[in-house]
Amino acid sequence: MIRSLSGNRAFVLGAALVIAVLMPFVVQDTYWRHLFIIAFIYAMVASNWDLSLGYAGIFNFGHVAFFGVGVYAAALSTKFLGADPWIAIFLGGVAASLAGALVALPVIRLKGIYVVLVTFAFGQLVLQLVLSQSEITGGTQGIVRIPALEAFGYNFLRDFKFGYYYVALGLLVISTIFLRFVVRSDFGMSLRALRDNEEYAVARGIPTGLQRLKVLVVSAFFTGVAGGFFAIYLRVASPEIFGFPVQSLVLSMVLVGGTGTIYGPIAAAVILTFASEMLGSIEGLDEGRVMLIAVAMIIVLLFFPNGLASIWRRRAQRAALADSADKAVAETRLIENSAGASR
Amino acid sequence: MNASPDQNGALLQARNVTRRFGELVAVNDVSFDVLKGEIFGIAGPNGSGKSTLFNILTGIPFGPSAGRIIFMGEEIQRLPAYRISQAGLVRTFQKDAEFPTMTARENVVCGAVYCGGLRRDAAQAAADDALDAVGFDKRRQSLPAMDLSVYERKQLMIASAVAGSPAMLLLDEPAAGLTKPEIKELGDLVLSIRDRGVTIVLIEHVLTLLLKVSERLMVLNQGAVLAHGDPHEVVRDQRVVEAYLGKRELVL
Repeated sequence: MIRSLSGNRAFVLGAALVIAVLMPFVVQDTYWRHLFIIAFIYAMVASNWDLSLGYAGIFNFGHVAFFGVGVYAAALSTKFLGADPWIAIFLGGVAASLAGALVALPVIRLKGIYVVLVTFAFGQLVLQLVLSQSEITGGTQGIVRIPALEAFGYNFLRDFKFGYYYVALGLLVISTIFLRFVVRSDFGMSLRALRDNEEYAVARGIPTGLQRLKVLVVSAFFTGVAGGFFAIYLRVASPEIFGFPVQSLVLSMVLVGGTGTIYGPIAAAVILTFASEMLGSIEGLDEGRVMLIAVAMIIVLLFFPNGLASIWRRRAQRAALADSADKAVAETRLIENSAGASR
Repeated sequence: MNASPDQNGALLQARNVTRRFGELVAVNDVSFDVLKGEIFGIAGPNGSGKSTLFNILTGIPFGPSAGRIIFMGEEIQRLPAYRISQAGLVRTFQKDAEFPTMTARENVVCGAVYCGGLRRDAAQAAADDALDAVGFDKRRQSLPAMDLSVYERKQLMIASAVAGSPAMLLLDEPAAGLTKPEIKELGDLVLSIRDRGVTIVLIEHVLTLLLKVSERLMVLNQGAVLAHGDPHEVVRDQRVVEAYLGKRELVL
């Protein structure tokens, strides 16, 4: 029973990947492809956020700032270091990880609401830094005319974002494989242990501070890569990414998708990116869509407090319970039978 | 300056250990040795500082205000708590402690990996072995710990400690909340863990259990050592009887 469920899951994942790979052949329109690319970027940010928020239970509200650090690191490295855009994307990840380590220093000494305050303040700090250093960062104007991606003489601006689509999808796939690896490792297990019961985790030899530092560094990396790609793709770095709307949109992706899961936030990122765009294109709903999404989020969380992914997980858990009950019944029968036989 | 652990066969030495909370002295100048391979019982009325003593020894959540703790020949009172656990001084808790969303088996694997320093495969083998040792029902090992019974969760807490092959296991009132047959089973379990080469310190209110398994007994009262020695003699000590105010449990 459990096996068939996990087989089921592999099938759904495989099907989703095949659909995603074939999508650009069906969807030729630049705008639609653009939405998919944005959705994939948000999916990376949301699923990596969930590593620190959902798996490790750190109330980290500075995650979108890691994304912003990636955006600016990529933009600045092309502008001032003349970095190749591919390298710039990677540098976005490195810079975000460094930012993660920086945030970890106070975070590993704090608990609960103070973690929220410090991480939130970190985002504001980076924003103020970007705004105040306008001769470098362009201030509120941002950085424009960032060079576009090129590979073997192919300019990615061609073919209606065909190439960009696959870079975005490829990065999301790599990030997801990486997350799966982390979550299933002993390190991932220790994160859940820490989240579940910190004191007990220490009593079982888990170094709390070190694991928190590591998870912030690790979860920031692909978030920064997503930011780097975002900058290279849009060819702009704008301070708006540090704003509250982006923060709450990505947070709702994590919460609606389900904390403590990888695929929940990814699915929610795709759904919410499209929902937000669709609603925005309806006459008069330009501003109201944020409210509609918020209402949808409340409704989902009311019925599924652990997010949409919990529907799936609940089925698996029920299966496990039924399975252990089945085994118990079978064993009892066996004992009864053998008792009957010996009589 | 450090006493060698082999000098008198002591695995753990507490020297003048004290813990203050402002004006309150929860543990007051306590010294004792735990010998390698023994089961060392600790008794005392509520609030006598038994659990605080475990907290101090393991650094979870705090170490001593003063005094020295020597474990396997090394002073540990300033080590971070997780390092003490990794060094093989591992505790259980009086209240339920588990990783509720993790499966029963994962709960135990965690102890094998982080306390025992084992790699994946070896850790899983050690976890299976520890689950067997505590008599955990194998069919229920894939369930999340939150779906298990009180006794099963106690089994897990002990199994996750045993899986890391600790040198010393500190059991904090393991019999609390258990039924009589379960307490008897627990007594056998404690003895079998000791037979695996684990030295045990046992805090317990259930004196029948203490007297059944422990070789030496220390009684605390108001944070200080009241009596210390052969369990059957200690419980007859007049001061101990008075400290308990003639509680029925003492009259066996």
